[in-house]
Amino acid sequence: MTPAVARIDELVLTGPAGGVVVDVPAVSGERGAVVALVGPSGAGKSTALRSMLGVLPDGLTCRAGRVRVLEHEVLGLDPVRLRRLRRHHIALVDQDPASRLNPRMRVRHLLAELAARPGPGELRRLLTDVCLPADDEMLARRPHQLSGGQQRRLALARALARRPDLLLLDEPTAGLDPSLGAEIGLLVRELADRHDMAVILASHDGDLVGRIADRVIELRIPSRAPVPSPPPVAVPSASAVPLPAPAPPTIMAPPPPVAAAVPPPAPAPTPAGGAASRAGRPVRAAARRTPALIMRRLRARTGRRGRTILHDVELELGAGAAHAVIGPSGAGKTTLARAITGLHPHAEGVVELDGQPLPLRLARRTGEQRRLIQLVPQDPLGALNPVRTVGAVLARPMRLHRRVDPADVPSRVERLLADVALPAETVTRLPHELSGGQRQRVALARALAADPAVLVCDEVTSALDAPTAQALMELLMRLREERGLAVVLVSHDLDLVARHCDTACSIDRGRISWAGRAGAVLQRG
Amino acid sequence: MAERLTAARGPAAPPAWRAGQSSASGPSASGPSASGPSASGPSASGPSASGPSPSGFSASRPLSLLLRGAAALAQRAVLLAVLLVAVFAAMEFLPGDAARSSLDRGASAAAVAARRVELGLDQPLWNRLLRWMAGLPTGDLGVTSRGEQVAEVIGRHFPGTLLLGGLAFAVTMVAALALAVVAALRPSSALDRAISGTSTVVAALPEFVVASVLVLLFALWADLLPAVTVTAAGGGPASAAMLVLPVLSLAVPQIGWNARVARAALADECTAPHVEAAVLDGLPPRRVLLRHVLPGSLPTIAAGAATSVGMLLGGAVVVETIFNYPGVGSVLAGAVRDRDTPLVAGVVMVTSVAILAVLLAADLVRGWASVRRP
Amino acid sequence: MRTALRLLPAGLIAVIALAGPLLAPSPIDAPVAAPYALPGPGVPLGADELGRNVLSRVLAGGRELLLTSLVVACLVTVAAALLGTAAALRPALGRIVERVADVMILLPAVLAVLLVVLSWQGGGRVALVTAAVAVGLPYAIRVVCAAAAPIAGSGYVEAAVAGGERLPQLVWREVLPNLRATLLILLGLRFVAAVYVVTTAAFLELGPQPPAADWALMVRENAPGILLNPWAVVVPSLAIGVLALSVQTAAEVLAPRSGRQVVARL
Repeated sequence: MTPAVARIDELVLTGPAGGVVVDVPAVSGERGAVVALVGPSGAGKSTALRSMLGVLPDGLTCRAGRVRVLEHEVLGLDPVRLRRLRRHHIALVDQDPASRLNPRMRVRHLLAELAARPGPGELRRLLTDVCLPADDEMLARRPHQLSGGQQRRLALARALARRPDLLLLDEPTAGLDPSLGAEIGLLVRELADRHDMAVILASHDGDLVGRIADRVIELRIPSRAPVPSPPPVAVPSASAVPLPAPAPPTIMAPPPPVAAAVPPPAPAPTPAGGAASRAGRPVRAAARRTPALIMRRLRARTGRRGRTILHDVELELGAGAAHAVIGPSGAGKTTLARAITGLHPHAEGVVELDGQPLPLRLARRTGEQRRLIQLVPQDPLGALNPVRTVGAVLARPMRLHRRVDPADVPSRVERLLADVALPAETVTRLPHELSGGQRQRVALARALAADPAVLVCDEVTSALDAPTAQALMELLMRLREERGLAVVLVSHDLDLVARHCDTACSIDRGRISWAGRAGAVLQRG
Repeated sequence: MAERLTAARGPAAPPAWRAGQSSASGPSASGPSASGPSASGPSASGPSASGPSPSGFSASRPLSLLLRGAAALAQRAVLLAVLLVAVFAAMEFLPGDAARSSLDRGASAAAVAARRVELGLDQPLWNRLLRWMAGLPTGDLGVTSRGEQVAEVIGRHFPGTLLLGGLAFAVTMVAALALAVVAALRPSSALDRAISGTSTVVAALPEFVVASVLVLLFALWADLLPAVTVTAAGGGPASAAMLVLPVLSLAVPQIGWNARVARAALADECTAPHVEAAVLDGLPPRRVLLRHVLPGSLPTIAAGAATSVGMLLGGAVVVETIFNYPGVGSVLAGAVRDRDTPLVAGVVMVTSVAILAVLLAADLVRGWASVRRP
Repeated sequence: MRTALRLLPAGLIAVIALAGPLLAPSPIDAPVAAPYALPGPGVPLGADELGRNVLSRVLAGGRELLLTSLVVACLVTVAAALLGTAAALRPALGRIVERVADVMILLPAVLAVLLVVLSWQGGGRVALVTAAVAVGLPYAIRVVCAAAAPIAGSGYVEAAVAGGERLPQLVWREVLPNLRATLLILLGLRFVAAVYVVTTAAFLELGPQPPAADWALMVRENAPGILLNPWAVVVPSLAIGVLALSVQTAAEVLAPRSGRQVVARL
């Protein structure tokens, strides 16, 4: 057996707190062999590859590390020799090759600067090697004039240009469609054989690994790292929300008297009581008789003369109904949510609230119209102002819309916190002192503080772990029943949607591609 | 993105808004209703492998660059016109007028009135402005309140200022780039820190402070260079040595400023993935810096340089006074005091045109260096 | 401790500039020695062109400069904070600011100050402050606008907008409290800029008139005798430099770290 070109004997990295973050088992690569590193994300596949280039991730400390490449101990190698090693013997093709190609350089120079023997013949041979057209026109292009697959091939050609002894590939097929991925895989296999290189690759792609790898090494997440536990299945009949906070007795109390004191302009249907609501569907179906929110032929553009990103979206939902909007990211879900709330400036179509047409631009809506539709933004975007206490955040909409007698505001805030199952002392907290789930509850309470008729929730659970998301959804659905709220829920979590909503629609490239009962979303291919 | 500046200086403050993008899409474009997180971007519908179509990319680029250049030129020209209107209006609405200031203090009301008619001051502002602008294409900048041709007065004095400012600009850019590159080659070394620290200090200094220190050091103690400019028969400085101290006085604060801008721009670009890739490819540091880092940071550096031009031309007025240098500074001071609107407008115009030229050059650099992302 | 050390120069120079006139050992406008006399007993920094005590004049010459620059810096920062935030929230306003700044970049600051101060006869310090504010404002607004833009697009501002808040409330309650660090550093930067404009104007004899003591004016007046008594030029020059730098450093030190990060991107 030929001696290993590269071998990791051990590599243990610890985080700032001292816990083991990465623990790589022994890895070795020989000439002509393809070794695959597999394992869940976070197991350190990329870290292992990069360690062979003498790079360790920032912020991690190396507790034990012996990484040898061509008889050099690369961790701690002096910079000049390390550079030479990288320049002539090791090549890494990273996960996202497009971003790693200098956008200002032409293919010709991208290859020539690394080529062992720069010259027109060599450059063409490199292009041919990776199955790219080897002509002047290709050599004169810049990376952004190539397709994704071509960029990947170019990155590979760049790696091969120095005729490396060791080729490292990080997720070589990520983001490629299967046939293209297969081609790249075959190419790698063939190059390893032909150039007698050691190839070490990290991949999620079991297909690829099975097809081209001579050896598979599995990396594990070190046991000290928390493993996401399966969410406990919540029983819908239980009123308790799984929260550290004690659920105050007011939690199942009838809706606060505010709504009664100042009746909303349209008669809201009586909130459904406990037993019926658990049965679910019938009540909601009844609620749907009086549509609270109607949208017809809603279109949205990126700018005044921009691309259309929403095409003729139609939606209808009644008070107390929950409608889910699902679809791939970038499909226009958030745009829809923003168009309903009036935040998207370039929208056209008809939106009616309780039978009244609603201007699409927020600036034209009256204060009352703004109050009736409230947005719950998603947390990662900073749903709460970092310098305002929870109490101030919740009191503001009450004062702004004059829905509550100023003297009653503190007690009303307290009740609102209880409604969203947060402890009363949360009032004085700042957002950064709260957990993600608590912040999302505060955002929800802020929307409720305005006493709206329609609640638009934009990915409110996306930043939460499964149990917290589950609890939040249950809370939302309970509040909806109590208050007769119409809820538009933008989400990508089909499970939650199927479990909690009545109806759903799927948006794909700006169009409603499917609409039906929410329970059916899981069955849809 | 923008450069990492902790010291912005002078009214020509940080060029953050220009960095990397056209001035039209500055901060304003990211208001809540312009395009929020949702409205942006094409539908990134899945990580499909099909990128942009590779066809039809090459031929139209020079043409579109040209068109964009023309549009930028037109836009800047409009801005120049607006500025001139503002200058005219400012001179009009501020107290005092040219007829009175160009006559003796005790002149009679009749004499002032006659003078006003003679200077055309009895005409409405708009008439004077239009008449003045109509003359511009033929190089006619009007007549000063002392009866000279404005174009002639400026033609006599502006070349000196232009020489001074141009030399200072060249020195500034060469020195600032060199310092920034040297500092960037050894990040957070003692040399890097020394360069950054020094540039912060000198960037905050007014030109006259620099000038007096330089005069003390080089002219008086070391006796190497002349402290005063002697005007030759042609109107320019009598010897090249006389230019050294004025040019340095002007350039030193701007070198500090631009070195900071350039160093920060290089540091920003160093975080780009393709730069890390180049380092991991084992390319020599110099090549990484010059081929992979510098091109990407050029737009920011050019924007910084463009803001320097105004500072240089403004500072030239000060430096000319100190070194008794024959330039437009003295003319300008006298013209403003005399409320000589055509002369002031003329000086403002030639200065603005000079700044405009550099701004356009910066635009071109940006157009060249920016990559159209598909 | 290190923070205190870095704040020290700013405090020291501010105290000297403010209390200096009281500490001056001899009147600022009476000759006490031969013109350009070198340092000696009673005149630690020598004498100036008219034989006046340089130390007294240095002690007396910073107050007006400091106060004027401070006023300019504060005015610019406050106005920029309000307008810049509004511009970030209202793109139409943002575009106007952009255009104004595009125009202003064509007019060198010194030229603009010259224009305003010379043609506004009798305007005095008001004219100078007006000019300095006008010159600095567009850029300061741009800086604030750039810093406020991410906040304007954040979830809580969106929610507030959708919830019916009006512009003044958005500016005051939602955005500005999150820009404190940015504004503090901006204040420092504007102070440096204001020192530049105010001293340059004074140097061009557009500010305080003789026989008033003023650092910039001293540099100009004593330049002819720089070889005879260099201290008369060097000390006021240094004082200007130290004033500008120390205040800027102080603002940087006082700003929270997170804020430094924000302004670092400007």
